[in-house]
Amino acid sequence: MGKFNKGSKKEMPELNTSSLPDLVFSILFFFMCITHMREDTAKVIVSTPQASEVVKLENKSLVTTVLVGRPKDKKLGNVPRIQFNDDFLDKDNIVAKMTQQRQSMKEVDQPKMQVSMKIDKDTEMGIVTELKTELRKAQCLKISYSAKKGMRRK
Amino acid sequence: MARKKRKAPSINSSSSADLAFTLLIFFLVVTSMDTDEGLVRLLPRWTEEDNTQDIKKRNMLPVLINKNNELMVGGEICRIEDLCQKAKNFIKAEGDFAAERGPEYITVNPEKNPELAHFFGMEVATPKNHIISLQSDYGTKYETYLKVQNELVAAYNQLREDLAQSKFQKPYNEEELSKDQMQAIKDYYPMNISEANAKY
Repeated sequence: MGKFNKGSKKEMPELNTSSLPDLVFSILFFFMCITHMREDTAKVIVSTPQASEVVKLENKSLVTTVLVGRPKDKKLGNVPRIQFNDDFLDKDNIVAKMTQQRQSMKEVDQPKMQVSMKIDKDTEMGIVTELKTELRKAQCLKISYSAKKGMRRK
Repeated sequence: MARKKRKAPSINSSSSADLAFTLLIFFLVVTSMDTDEGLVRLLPRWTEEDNTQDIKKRNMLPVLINKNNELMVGGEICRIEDLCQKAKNFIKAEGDFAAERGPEYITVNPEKNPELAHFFGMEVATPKNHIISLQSDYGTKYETYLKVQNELVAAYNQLREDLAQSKFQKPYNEEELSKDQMQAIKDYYPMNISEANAKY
C-alpha cells in the first residue's frame, strides 16, 4: 500500500542556472550580427504608399536611402525636401553627394549600387522627377520606389 | 618551507547573466528588422541631348496622369482599376502583332537571349518591341503615380505567371523555377516602362 508522508518537507530542487549566461550570450550575438545601426534620423515626414508588387531589397550594403517629404521642423517650411544621411540636399548637390557615396563603397559593389527612394505619398511628382533626373546624371540607375507591402484592390 | 599550492579563487559569475541581458536588451532596442521593400526600376542612362527614339505609335501605350490624378491610357480616360487589364491586353496584342509581321520580328538572338532560345525555340512571338510610356504632371500626387506603376508591374507579373504555368506548370517565383527559366520568362515579357520626364 502506498504511504503518503505528508509531513516530510521536500523542497523543489533548485534550477541550475549556470548555463543561463551562455544562452543569453548566444541570443545577444544573434542580435549583434543582424543589427545595423541607424545612423540617420529622419528629418522629414515620410509615409510611404502601399503597393502589392513590391520586392525585397536583398543586400543592405548596396542600398542607399534617400528620403523625400515635408520637414518635421516647421521652421523649415512646408515644401517637400530631399534628405540624404543627415542633411538636406539641394538639386545642385545631389550628383556630388551620390558620387561621393558611391566612392565610399567597395569597388566591386559600386556598379551594383541601388538607391531606395522613400517618398511621402502626398508629395507632388515635380520634386520626384527632379530627383530622378539628378540620379540619372549621377549614374545611379538602379532605383527603387520604396513602398509598404499591401493587398491589391480588385 | 613547504609551499602549499593555492587554488585561485573562482570568480563569482552569477552576475554575468545580468550583464548579458543588459547588452541583449540594448541590441534588441536598436535593431531594425524591417527590410526595405519597393518597386525596383532601372533608369535610362543620362545623355545631354534629348534622345527621343523614334518609336512607332503602334508599339507604344501612352499612360498619362494629370495634376488632378486622372488617368488617360491610349487616348481614353481610364480608371486605375482597369489599367492592369488594359496593359495586359496591349502587351498580348503586341506579341500577336509581331507574329503577323513576319519571321524577322520573331527570331530570337541566341547570343542575346540564350535562355529564351533554349526554352522557347528560335522563333517566338514575344512583345519585345512594345513600350509603355508613363508620363506624369508636375502636380501629380506620388501616391497615384506609384499606384499606376504598381498596376503596370502587376500586369507584367500576371502575364509572366500565366506563361510560367502554361510552359513549366509551376508558379512564377524563385523557389519553383530555375534561374534560367526565370530569365527565359523575363525575356519573353520584358518590362519596358519608360518614365518620361514630366511636362512642365
